[in-house]
Parts: sequence; C-alpha cells; structure tokens
Amino acid sequence: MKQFLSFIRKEFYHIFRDVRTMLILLIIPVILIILFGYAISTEIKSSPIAILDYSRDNVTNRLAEQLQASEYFKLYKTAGSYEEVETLFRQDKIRLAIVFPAQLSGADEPAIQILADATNPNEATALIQYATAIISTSDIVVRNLATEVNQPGVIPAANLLYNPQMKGAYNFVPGVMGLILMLICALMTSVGIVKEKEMGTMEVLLVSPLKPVYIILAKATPYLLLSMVNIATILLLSRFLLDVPVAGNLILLISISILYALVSLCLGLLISTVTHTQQAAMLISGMALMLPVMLLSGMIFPVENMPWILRVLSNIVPAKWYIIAVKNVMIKGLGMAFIWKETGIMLFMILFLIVVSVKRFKIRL
Amino acid sequence: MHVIETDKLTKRFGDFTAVDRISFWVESGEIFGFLGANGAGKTTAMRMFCGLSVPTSGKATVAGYDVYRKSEQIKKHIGYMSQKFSLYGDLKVWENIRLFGGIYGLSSKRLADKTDELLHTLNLENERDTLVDSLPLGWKQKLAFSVAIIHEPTIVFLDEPTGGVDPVTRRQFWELIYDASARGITIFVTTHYMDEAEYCNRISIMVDGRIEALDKPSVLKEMYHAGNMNEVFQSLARKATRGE
Repeated sequence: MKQFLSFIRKEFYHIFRDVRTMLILLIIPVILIILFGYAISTEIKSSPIAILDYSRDNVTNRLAEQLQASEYFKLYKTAGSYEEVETLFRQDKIRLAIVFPAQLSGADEPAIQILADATNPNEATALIQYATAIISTSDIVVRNLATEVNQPGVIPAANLLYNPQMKGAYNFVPGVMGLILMLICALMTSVGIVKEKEMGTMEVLLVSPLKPVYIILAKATPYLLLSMVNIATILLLSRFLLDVPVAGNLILLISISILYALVSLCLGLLISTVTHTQQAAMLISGMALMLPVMLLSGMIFPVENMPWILRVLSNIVPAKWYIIAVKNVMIKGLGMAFIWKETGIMLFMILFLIVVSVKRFKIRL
Repeated sequence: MHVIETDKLTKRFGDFTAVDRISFWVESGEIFGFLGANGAGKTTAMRMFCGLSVPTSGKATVAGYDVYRKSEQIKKHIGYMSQKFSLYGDLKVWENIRLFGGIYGLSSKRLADKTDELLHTLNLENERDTLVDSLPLGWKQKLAFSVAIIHEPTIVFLDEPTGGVDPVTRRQFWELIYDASARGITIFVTTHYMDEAEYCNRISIMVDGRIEALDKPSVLKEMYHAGNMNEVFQSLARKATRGE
C-alpha cells in the first residue's frame, strides 16, 4: 500500500508540473462549455425570411406581423416577385420565404406556400415547422380561412417536454461531459503510460517489486480523480452559466460518470499496450476515440439520420450510451430503471476491454 | 555463495537463438563485467536474470531464487539501472529518492537516513530540491546508481551505465561501484568501454549468443597474447557471424 501511495504521489507531481497537462485539465472543459454554450449554437433564432404577398389584405398583413413577432424569424425583405425571392435565396440573404397567393381569403382551399433553403436540412425542417405552427394557430387564420375541410378544427397543441425553450445547452452539456472524460481518462492515461515506456523508466518499474497491476492502477487513479473534478466543474458551469440544472439524482449521475470514466481508462490502457511513442498514442486516441465521440455519439449530429452502417457503428462508441444515460438522468430526471440498458452496455465494455488489455499487456515486456 | 548461477540457459525468439546455452556463475561481492558486441545477446541474458523475460530452456538462479518460479522474490533482491536514464526528470532529487525508496518498501525513518547519507556521499546536499532534469548528465548517472542500490540489494545490474559520460565522471562513477562492492553488493555490469573492463574482477565476453571467454582480465590478456582488453575483445568479436 505504501508503495502504491508513493507511486500515486509521483503521478500527481508529473501532472502538476507539466503546463500542457494542466492546461488540458483545467482550461479545456471551460473552453468547451463556453464554446458550445455561446458560439456553436444549434438553436434557431431570428432567421431572416422574405414575405411575398399577392393578397395584401388584412389576413395576410396580420399573418406577416405574427411571423415577424416570433423570435424565430426576422423579416429581411418584403419581396415583389418570385424572381426576387429566388435571388434572395441565392445571395444567401434569407433562410425561408412565405408566399401568400392572390385572394387567399376567398379561396375554396386556401394554400400558403413556404419555401426553405434546405442546404442545411435540419434547420430547414425546423423553420418549416415553426412557420407552419404559427400560421395554423394564428387567430386570424382560424377565424377567416377555416374551410369545410378543417372546420372541426383539430388544433394540435404541441408541448416541448424537458427543454421547453429548446436550448442547445441541454443537448451538448452531456456531450461535453462525454468528450472531457474520454479526453482525460483515455488520452492522458495512454500518453502517461507510453511516456514511461519511451523514457525507459517503465523497465525500471517492471524490474522493481511493484506489481504491474499496481503500476497501471497508480497511473490511472489520478486521472480518474481529476476527471471527477472536471465533471463537477462542468455541472457547476452548466448550472450557473447556462441555466441547465441537474433534474435527476446527482449521485446516480456521478456514478454513471465514473462508470464511463472506467470505460475510457480501459480504452487508454488498451492504446498504451499497442503503441510505443507518445505521438502515436495521442494520434490513436484522437482519431479512434475523440472523433467518434464528436461525430457518432449524437452529441452534434443526430445518429437517427445517419446511414445504417454508421448507426450500427455508433453502438460501439461508449460515449453514445453515456450521453443517453446522462440526458435521461440530468435533463429528464429519470431514475436507474430507465438507464439499466446503457449501464449494462458500459459494464460489458469494461469487462471486454479489461480482458483484451490484460492479454495484451506484457508483464515481462 | 554464487549470486548468479546458470546452466545451459537459452532464449529463442522463433528461429533466432538470442542466448545459446550459457553456463557460468557470479560470486558474491565480485564485480562481473558482461561484455559483447551489439546483438551478441547481453541484454536478453540480463532481462532473464531480472525476471523481465522467461528463458526458453536451461536453469538459472539469481540471489538463490529460480528465474522461472521466483521472479517476484528476485525483484526484491536486485537493483537495476538501464542504459536509458532511469530517474524522473520532472521530480526533484529527494522526490526521486523517496519514490524508489517507497517502491522498495523502505520505512520512513530508514528512508530519511538513506536520503541524507546518499546526498552527502554524492555531494548533492545543495541540490536536494533541484529537478533532476537540470542536473548535469554525470550527476544524474551517479544519482541513478545510488538510487538503484538504495534498498541494499544482493546484486545490481548495470546496463551500460556510463554511456555518454566524460572520462572524469566515469572514473568517479567507478569509485561508487567499488564502494558498493566493498559493502558486499555484487555488481553485474555491461559496458562498451574496454578500459572499464579492466576494472572488473572477472569478465565474460559474449559472441553470437555464447560465452566465448570468461576469466580475470589479466588471464584473458595472457591467453590471447594481447596488450589490453581491447585487443582481446577484437580478436573474439571478429568471430561473430551475426550482424547488428
């Protein structure tokens, strides 16, 4: 035990004396939160639109007002013709155009045309939904344009659960947690172990009475502790800076974070057994771990919209399951009963990785 | 008592026989030089003695323990200094001493005494709080050696300990080795410097995985009609068929 403690103390010296490591540990979580919180926003706000109105009566005027009044849209221009609308789209001045035909109010089947710039499909879909919702629930439409077809007037009342303001932060805070834990536990651990191999100190350690399993544990422990500090930082930042509170049980949230951190540690260990230089370890961690966390975990791009092969691949990305579990607990406030599948998958991953790494880790080099 | 004893010890990697049926012994307290050209099999043999590598066949005991079954016991009774620098550069001098003392299970009291004694012997009292990285190479090597024997092992393995060190420091380094030997620690050292070979009590010269010669330097010189160890080494190494 004393051997183990003196080794852990050494690890902390390594971490605290290396400026680069300290920067990664302390600054990156804050930067990511601020970056995703303010700069990279997937929310739709004040999208520029054009209105082409051939009717020009009180109904269309009122609708145009209501569209502008919503926080989603901002009138860029009242267009005079289809050609002008097309030009505005081409010049990238507007994301959406609304066309009111002539005699809208008198028509048997009144139809309003909505045009969207679908080069960004997710945004286009959202904008169309917002516009449709505003138009179909508008009082003036209900009063004046109600035809026989929609006379009974089934008005859908949409309710946005868990995240009523549709804040992007609710989606990316769990994502950033997944990213940071992977960065620290996998990348830093693998680099830390490979560094000892590269410097030749690993040989000295293996010749010492210190058991290899203790060497590995001692290398991993500090990073596990520090990653928990980072989780606390992220949760505090998201609570007080971004107004994203923890809706569920905090202990449960921390437990699944530790579980995910262990998966990451095992991945880092595996990487350290197949590489011999720090650069290689960093490259593999970056390409094989960080990139999938960003692309395939659902953090930025919805996995559901991906081709089937990527959907299948996303299942082996631990971050995907962690992020789902965190969202369930942190945002929806659900309990253990709703995340047993994700927890089980992560447990299985740990077992699998430990078996593989132990087989690969050559005690006698 | 023989600190190392081997009988037809062999290590094969596939078709390649790195160490080929070596049989010899090292006596307690002696300075044993383990010589050979690059690729002759020195490092592989040394790794087997340290418990880092399992022999393919043959017998060997180190400090009285069998290398196949008692590698954990062996590790407690040996010291090791590799040709790569084996201390942590971003740790202070005393932190390195405490780390390795801790790993070898020294008590706090003994560790404190050892630290003072060691710093005094090496004249490093003023560098206690210096990061090891900022010490000159010669000092680092001397410190590394002192740390490698901090737990008073039965035998210490030195793998080319003086590589890249200037002649004056090398001389000082060998004084440390003599001190340790006088305290009863057996020294097992590999080197490329033939003048260093002269400092050893006995030396063995490995060629192509086999021990071609083993005796006192003076006897070897006579046997090969050579003026110095370098000539002995050259005439033996010429027989090598293996490349590097």
